[in-house]
Amino acid sequence: MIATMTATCLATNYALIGIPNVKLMDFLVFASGFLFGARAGALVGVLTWSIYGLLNPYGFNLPIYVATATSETIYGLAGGLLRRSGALSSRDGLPWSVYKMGALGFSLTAIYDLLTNLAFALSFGVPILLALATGAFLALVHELTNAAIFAACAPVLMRLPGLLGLSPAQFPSEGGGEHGGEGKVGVD
Amino acid sequence: MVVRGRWAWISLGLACWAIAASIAACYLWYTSEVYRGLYERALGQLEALTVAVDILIDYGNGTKVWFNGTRVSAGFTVFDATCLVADVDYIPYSGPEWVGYPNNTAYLVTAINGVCNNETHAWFWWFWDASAHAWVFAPYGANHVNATVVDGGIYAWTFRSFTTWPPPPP
Repeated sequence: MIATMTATCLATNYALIGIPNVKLMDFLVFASGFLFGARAGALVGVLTWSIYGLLNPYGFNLPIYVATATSETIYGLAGGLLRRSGALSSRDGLPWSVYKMGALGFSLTAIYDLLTNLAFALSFGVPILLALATGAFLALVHELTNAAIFAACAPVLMRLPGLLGLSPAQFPSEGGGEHGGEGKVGVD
Repeated sequence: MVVRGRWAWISLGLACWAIAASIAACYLWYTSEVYRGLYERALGQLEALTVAVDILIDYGNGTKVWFNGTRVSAGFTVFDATCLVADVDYIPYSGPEWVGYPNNTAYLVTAINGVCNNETHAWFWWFWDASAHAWVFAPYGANHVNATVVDGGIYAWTFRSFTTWPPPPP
């Protein structure tokens, strides 16, 4: 599953190479975490970046490479945590779930962009505020498109555990029911 | 618990909005700074090649229009500078007697912005003598070599009767 999701991330990344900062990868990493656990999601993120960062037409830079590979894991970790918390369930209704996923996609991407911009500033000796200002436009594009992708894919993501035969708050590797039943947990 | 969770998500949405607005503001600020830098550099280059002058057009009926800080090419005459800020009609006079004029051709200004010379009134030009603090009636045409504008120069056109001579200043 990790290899399959990593390959999917890479395929979509290279397919969208001409559109900077618009990628399906972030959602796919998040979905990996959501479906198969935070550890699996984080691994998909790291593995994707370990290949995509190395074989990238925009060039290679070691500090950026490390920063992006590390930061990408937040999507997988967040996906796993969201599933475990049961905060995304069909009980909420579609509009509320779409809203939640959009907000989550935006905020996770904002954290990712902040971390990678900090890495860029530190590795090239650029003042941090200047790095944030110069990257503001691309960051905004990244965050808004990710919010849209996350929101648009919310209905699919909510149904996928059922289609894959997974219980809503249980990951494949974790055996049955140790985290409680459907829609449990008091977050929502 | 449900209510608290709902408010947490609403807060997250508002935080996203705040972040997006901050980033957009940051981007606009950065873009404005970039363009400000480009503008100032261009202005610096322009200042090396141009002079700034003030031009007054006095229509004689109480209407006076100032064109302050008008930037014109170095070497422009008062006539050239006036053509930049107003619609000017003129009649050229050529001949060897017109010494000091480009190609021995002097221009008689016959109208500015549609106000034409007539049997009693005509357009006259003046320059401000900063040391004397007075307007000086120009003894030559507006395209004469001596009418070349200088940086910070103040020039005026007046539509005056020529029944009294010299005509009154602006």
